[in-house]
Amino acid sequence: MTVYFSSAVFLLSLFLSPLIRGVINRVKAWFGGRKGPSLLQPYYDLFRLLKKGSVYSKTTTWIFKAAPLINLGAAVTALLFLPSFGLPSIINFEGDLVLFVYLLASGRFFMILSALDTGSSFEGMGASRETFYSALTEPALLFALAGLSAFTGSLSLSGIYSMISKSAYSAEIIPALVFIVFSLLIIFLAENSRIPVDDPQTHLELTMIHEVMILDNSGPDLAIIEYTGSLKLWIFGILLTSLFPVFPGIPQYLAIIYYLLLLFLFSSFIGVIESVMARLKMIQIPRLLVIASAFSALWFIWIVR
Amino acid sequence: MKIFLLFSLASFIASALLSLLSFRKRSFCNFFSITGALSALMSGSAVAVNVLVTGKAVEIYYDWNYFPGSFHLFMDPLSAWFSISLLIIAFLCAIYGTWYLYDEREKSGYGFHWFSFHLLAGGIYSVFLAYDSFLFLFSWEIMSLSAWFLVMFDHEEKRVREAGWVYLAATHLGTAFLFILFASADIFTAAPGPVLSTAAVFLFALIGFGTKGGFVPFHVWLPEAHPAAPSHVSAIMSGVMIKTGIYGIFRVLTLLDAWQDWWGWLLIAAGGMSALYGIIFALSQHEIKKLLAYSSVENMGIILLGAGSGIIFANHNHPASAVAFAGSLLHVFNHSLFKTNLFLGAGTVIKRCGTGIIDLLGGLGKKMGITSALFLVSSYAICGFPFLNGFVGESLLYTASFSGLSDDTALNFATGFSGFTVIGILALTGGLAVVCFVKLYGTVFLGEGRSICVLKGRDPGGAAIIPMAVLSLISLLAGILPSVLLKAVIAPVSVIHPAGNSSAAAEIPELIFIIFRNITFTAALFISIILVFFLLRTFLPGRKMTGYAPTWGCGFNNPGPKMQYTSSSFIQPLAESFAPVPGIKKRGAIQKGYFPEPVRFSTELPDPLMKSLFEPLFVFSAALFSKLKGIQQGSLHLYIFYIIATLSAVIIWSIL
Repeated sequence: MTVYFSSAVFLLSLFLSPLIRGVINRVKAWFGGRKGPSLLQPYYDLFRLLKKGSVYSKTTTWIFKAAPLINLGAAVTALLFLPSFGLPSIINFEGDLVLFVYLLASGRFFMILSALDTGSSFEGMGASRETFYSALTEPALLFALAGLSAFTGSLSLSGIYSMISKSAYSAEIIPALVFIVFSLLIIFLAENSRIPVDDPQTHLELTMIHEVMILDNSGPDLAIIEYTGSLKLWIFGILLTSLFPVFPGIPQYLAIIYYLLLLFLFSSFIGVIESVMARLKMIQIPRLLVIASAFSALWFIWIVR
Repeated sequence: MKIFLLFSLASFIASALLSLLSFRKRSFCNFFSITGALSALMSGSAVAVNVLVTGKAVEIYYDWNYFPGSFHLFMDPLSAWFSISLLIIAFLCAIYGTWYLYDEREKSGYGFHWFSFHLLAGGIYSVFLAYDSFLFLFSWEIMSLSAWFLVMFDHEEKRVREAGWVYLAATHLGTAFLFILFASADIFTAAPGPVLSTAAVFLFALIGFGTKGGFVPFHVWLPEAHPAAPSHVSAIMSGVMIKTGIYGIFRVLTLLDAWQDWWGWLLIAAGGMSALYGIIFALSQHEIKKLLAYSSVENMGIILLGAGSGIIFANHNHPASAVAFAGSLLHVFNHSLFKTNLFLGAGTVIKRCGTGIIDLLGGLGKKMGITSALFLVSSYAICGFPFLNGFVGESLLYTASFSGLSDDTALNFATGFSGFTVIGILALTGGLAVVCFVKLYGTVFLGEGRSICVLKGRDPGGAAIIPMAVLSLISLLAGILPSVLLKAVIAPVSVIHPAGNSSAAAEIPELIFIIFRNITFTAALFISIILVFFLLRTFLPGRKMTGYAPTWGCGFNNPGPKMQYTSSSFIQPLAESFAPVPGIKKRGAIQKGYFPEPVRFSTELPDPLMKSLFEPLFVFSAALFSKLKGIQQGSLHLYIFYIIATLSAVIIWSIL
């Protein structure tokens, strides 16, 4: 029974993930005093791009064409490991944490190479920043997951989140969880190139990270990259919001509605952050990421007291 | 089995001698060298696989009546594990070398080169097999000296001679510690005696073997020797020879009882230092092989992290100790595969383009399609991504560390803290390794060529492609079917595992087998998902027409190779953040004034440990030993006197 639910939730995630972007953009528009685009605008964009043809740079090799597909494949495979809405993931086994983290990173490896494949200085710039910042985000993410794993005594994402959804941890560690939540928030912003790390709306190549890496992608390739981006928003959003469980014992469909509402509430919160904050100076971003690592490592104090 | 073992060792010696004898005829030389390595591979791997499967050691013992020590070969699972990668890599490098040295065939040293090559392979092999202090040291010296001859192949060049001396001095500094260790305690047969305590044995082993293994701060010879040596030599040195350092430490651990916690902490500290120092310096290198050499330092660090946490887990009876040791051993094997592959690929690039300076290369992916694809496989593997072999060892190290933290039955500060530290170091080095290899691959193979050097780039012949293809295939298979590797590593792990002083089971928990089976399953899933998306992408309805255009140049329609990011600019933000650590030296000026004028700017990264620690040490020892020049007068009478004096001393000693 749970497997059917999990599969349904997996398909739901594949369909609903672009909506997060729509919610964020809508909230940002409200804050700017505009009406804003439709919530479904990301879907319209994807379909528009899918209908177009692709133009490739003469400099590129097969890597440029393969990278978006590998990136999407990695994100979808990672999604199979993600326990969402209080349900275990479709694939789960003790020790799947590392595979999950490295799957996400392997997609990025190819995206960075495809940026370098174009031989453009802008894309090189974006690639350079992306590798640097992701190198600093990786310890934060692994420390955060190690903390959750240490608290729940489980080595799999599903095990961790099922313990958390049952609130099966001692109240003493709640302060540590607060730090982990905060650091997951920074990781969310950094991994998905949101303000204050990167500005997805900027149109000045010199200041961008993620957007500048995909300057030469067009048509279906760009659609795939955009869609993978929204999948990653979904994945990191779920990782964070699932730390706020609904009380146990309510029917599964109500729980799903609760978690969905929570996820879109969180998306609006991201929209608020993006509206009230400016992008950080490039030189300050590493400090922010080191803070994320420090916060996500603080739980160790609670373990060894 | 014994006869196969002797045959494989003899194959190396025979092919060494035969290639020396046939130095006049290059084709004979190649033939002897390849067939010798092949017969060593066939016979040796038959024994090694048998030992790994059955877990029973093969032992050969002969007394040497007039000689100290004994001819005692002993292939237990631990030796077998290390030997297999040696045998594979020696064979592949022998094939590759015939291509790499093709235009040096007229050189007088050609036969001698292959003589030294097989002596090196045989020397490493007998280091893994020797079970007698004297035989061990003898093999160790054969290995070290033949490696020196190999590094000095291009001895006409000054930089090669200098690199050779750094290597020779460093390696003998390390050997000095091993001499003391093995002379004072015959550790293969007896427990450490009164001269050296167990702790001292461990420390001496760490320094002596650490110098060969390239642990920071004893790593200085690696970045010097690797760029100077021919590429297949760098490959076998980095792929296998430095692993003798790890082997030595593991071997000493099996021989010592009563492991101490601080050994583990020391190994974790050395490993963490090597990993971070190695990768930060690898990042900032401008030369391919120097970068790869520093990356070897990093990987040796990762292997040490596994060994260190294994000791701590074992001391605290934590079941994850076997997992940590297994991760460490798997990384030994995997690193030797992909690092060899990387060095061979770098060799092809250097041979074709005539330079290994990363910023002079670029766009080689289009000219050297096969080489670049195989290089990509090993770059991806070394970053530790799934589903290639680099992930296998690292995932075990992570899993061991995670369970060190979360297993509440045995949770205590030591296992928790070691797990915590290892996770942090692995995550940071893993992230930085991605920067390093993306930079390397992106600058060398992608984009546009940066100088006329790349014009000569094209794929080499089969002798250079096949070894790389074989290595990539093994990497892929090992990454997709890690359970096979895991089954093979069970016996070596139980050899390392202390029998006496830990109640922790030497068995690898069932958990790991489940993980590895799931990795295979997920790999199949991952590949089919990508395939489905590929088909969807190809047969998508809509406009099929795709065009080709120049890269977007922000309105500038004639982008050239000079507008690309270089490797230096790629790591600039990172290097600035880590600036206090490496101490990058900048030369040249930035544009001043209002009008463009010729400007030169270059960065350089000298190894601070070389400058502050080793150069003074080398200068000091040179001054010390030059005092010995007095006894070396070149007068024949005096030398005859020395011989007589030594002989009589020996006679008197044996009478007493």
